[in-house]
Amino acid sequence: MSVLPLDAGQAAGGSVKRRLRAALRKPAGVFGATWLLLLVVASITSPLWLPHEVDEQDLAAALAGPSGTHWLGTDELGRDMFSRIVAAAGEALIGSAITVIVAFGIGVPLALFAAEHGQQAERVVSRITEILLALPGMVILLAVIGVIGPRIYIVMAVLGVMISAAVYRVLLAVAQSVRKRLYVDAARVNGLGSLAVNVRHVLPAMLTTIAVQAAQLFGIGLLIEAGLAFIGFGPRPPVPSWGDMIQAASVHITDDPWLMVPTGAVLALTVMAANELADAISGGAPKPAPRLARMRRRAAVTGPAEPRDPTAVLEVRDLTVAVDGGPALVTGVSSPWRRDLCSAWSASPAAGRR
Amino acid sequence: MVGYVARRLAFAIGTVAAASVLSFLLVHLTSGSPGAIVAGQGATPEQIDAANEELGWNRPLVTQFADWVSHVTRGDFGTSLSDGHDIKADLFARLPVTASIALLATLLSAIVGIVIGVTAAVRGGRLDRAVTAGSSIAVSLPAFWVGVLLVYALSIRTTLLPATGYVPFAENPVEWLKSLALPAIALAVGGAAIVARTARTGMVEALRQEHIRTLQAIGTPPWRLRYVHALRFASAPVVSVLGVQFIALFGGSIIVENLFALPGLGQATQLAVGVHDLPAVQGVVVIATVVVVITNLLLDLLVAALDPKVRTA
Repeated sequence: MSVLPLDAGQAAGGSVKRRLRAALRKPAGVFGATWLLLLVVASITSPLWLPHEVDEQDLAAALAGPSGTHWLGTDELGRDMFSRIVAAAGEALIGSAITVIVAFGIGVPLALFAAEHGQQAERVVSRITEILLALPGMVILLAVIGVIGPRIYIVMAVLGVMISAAVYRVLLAVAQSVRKRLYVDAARVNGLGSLAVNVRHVLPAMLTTIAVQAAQLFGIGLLIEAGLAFIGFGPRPPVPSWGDMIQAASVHITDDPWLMVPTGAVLALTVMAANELADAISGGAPKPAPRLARMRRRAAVTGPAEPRDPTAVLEVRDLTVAVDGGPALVTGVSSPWRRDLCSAWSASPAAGRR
Repeated sequence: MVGYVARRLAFAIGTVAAASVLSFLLVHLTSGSPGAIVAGQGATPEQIDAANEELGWNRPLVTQFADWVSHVTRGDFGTSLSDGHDIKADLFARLPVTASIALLATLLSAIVGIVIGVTAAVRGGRLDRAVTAGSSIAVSLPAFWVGVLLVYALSIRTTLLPATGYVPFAENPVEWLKSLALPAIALAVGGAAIVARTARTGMVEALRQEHIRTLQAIGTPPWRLRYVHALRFASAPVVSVLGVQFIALFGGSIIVENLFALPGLGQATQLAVGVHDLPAVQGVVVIATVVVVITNLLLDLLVAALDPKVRTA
């Protein structure tokens, strides 16, 4: 139920088409796209091939493990888990998609508007969205259900309204930076109207960020939808839903722990697929700086050299001090250390430190 | 600093006011009425109307709102429509359970997430890739599912922690912690992953700073460098993500409480929502908002104390 780990990612550079193509060459991107596509196709075509009816009971085989007839086992009424999971996918995916569409339907125009109309407009819109973000979203969703009943699609649309504030916050920064680019100014000088500038020039530059966020948000929507169904505010039985199936399985955790696995794994994999797709499009997390730990590499040993100053106790030649990966801080220090200098060295504050 | 505190305070009050208006309108702008719930099923329209009249539902909206606000500010949320108990007493008895779970889960997410995130950023390499991959798996796991698996592993296979039941803090602090450990851990799995990501990104940025390089060059011990200097630089995004996490985990707690049969706000909300007990629902919205807003206010002040840039912004 972790709401809003939305981040802009490293959405700089490259058109959205190139980004998507690049994402589909990474294993994580391939996994995400394939799994989601598979789920969509499976749930659309499911009436044609599902091995069992959703509410077909086989009480003799209740709480059975995976078998040839029931690929993922059966629940407490002997209903086929695989069929129910696939049949429940449609509503889960549509519900979450509604959240995403509503959130962007509100968030994108707001961000474009605030970026275009300067500080005054931005301040007003930002204050309102901040308040929206500071509200306990889950409690408000439950309050909505308390008033209108568990009408999942409407509830998911309300969630979209609340999340549009987070979408706005991330997109505003992007829209503002895009508007500063020269080609946007050029388009305006050329007499393009406000709508045309936004649609043709600002929006396309924001598409990568939008794609990343939409994928992340899709996963969040799925988790919240399942959470609501888990506490009994999902579609009414006998219509199956993932959250409700996990709730039913939790009752049988002592006598049939396997029942927890299929539904939970499918839900987790679907959310993961959306997140992996988002990561792949955004180009992944920033790389960490070189290690802070001291390097274990030793300097090359070149054997004893001839001392230049015969009175020296120790002689330093071409000393270089540098931080790992950084520029050299000190270079080319050469000095013979004679006995009378040594006491000065050991008394200096630098002595004794690493 | 004074100006900053005043602004945050005004914002907090504004948020609570917005939540109050929202929860009031939500209840009043719909077709249903409390009279229908009080009168029960099979009541005649006249009976429903009489019940509404008695509840003051037929008065003008503005009058009702003023009346409701004046009661709520005095801490009076009215009585439940379903069984007539005092909503305030009920919710205040339940609030500590939910708030404790959310607080414990946030604390756990913060500690685990910061240590993991900082270590990943400092070490880099294979460990960093493992943390990144692990955190993207962890954020995808539904907390209520993790909760059931924890019950299986820690309460059924072994008897390390109790699966259900609540022991008040005042009665026995150790048992209290034990009774809340499972839900807190279940919620912290996803929370820690998000904190770890933020901490890692912040630390990667922090370790590139010039002052960190200077501190390193003069021989500051590594732990001090990481956990005092670099982490302070990275603290603003981490603390603000903790604020968002507290809101999310408060909501998450309402979901997972059900699983552990804990007498918290979740149970009350679930009951109230199920029977359309609207005054109770309103009470939950207002109380939850106040708790969440106060926590975020405190976190904002913490950020301001840590980061002088925030104070002047």
